[in-house]
Amino acid sequence: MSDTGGMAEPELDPATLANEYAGLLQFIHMAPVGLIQADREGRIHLMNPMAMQLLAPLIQTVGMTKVAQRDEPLQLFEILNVASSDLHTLFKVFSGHSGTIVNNYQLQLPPRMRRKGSPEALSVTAMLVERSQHGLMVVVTDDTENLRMQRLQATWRR
Amino acid sequence: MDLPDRLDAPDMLARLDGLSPELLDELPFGVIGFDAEGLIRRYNRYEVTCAHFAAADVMGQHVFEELAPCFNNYLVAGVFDDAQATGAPLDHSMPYVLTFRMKPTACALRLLAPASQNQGEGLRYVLVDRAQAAQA
Repeated sequence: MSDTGGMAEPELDPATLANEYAGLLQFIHMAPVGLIQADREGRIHLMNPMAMQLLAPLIQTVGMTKVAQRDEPLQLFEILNVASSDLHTLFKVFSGHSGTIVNNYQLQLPPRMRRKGSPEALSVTAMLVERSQHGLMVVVTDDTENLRMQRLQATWRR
Repeated sequence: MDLPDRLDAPDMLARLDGLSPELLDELPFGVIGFDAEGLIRRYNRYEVTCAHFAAADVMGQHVFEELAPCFNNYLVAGVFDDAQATGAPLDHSMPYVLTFRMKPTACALRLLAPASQNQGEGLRYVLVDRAQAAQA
């Protein structure tokens, strides 16, 4: 047991670690924002339920059956390219080892992709985390209300 | 008893309702049966094995709010709601991506519900076939 500044650090037993891991997993699982971990090639290694829900219109357009038939991981850029290839371009030209690639990038979903309850636009923030095997962290949120407000404001200006 | 051996077997809803828990455990796909309030009443061994939840632990949980938040969206829960609103029986199949433990996992789903006039008595079902997606 190490001693830091006079205070002993408690050892973490396997049961405690397991509980903490389960709690962390549940926290991410229930997050009201889409969370995706991918590598620089766009292969998705982790995604929470909200990410799946928000990206579903794009995944379905790619062809979920086609997605399901392959053994390799889901491809983030293939999914995003359905709405716009601009994001993939931004990812490709980012030359840093870490940092923010895009921040609140609005991705509008074409009307043909929308279903009842599905978003009309997504907000995408992506960061590259240095020294991480799967270093691409992507946050996706529903930007539908923001899009509607933008359209409303555009009509006011006329 | 002629057990349904495929996710797309005919007369699935009636056949599931007639199966004992032991026979439900022999099916080659996951079965999650829930009542009109969304509370789980049936959960077979396939799902226990794949999802790593003991059947005793999930009985009585809300299927969308507790057991499977990844189904709590317009793609799955919303489809059940729409069917209930129209009163028509539901039999809808689709490919899907599960996010159990955040690992994207391709699968095939089949959503079943009785006609609305029977919904006070009958169960709704989400059937999950992880192997079909891999074999397709």
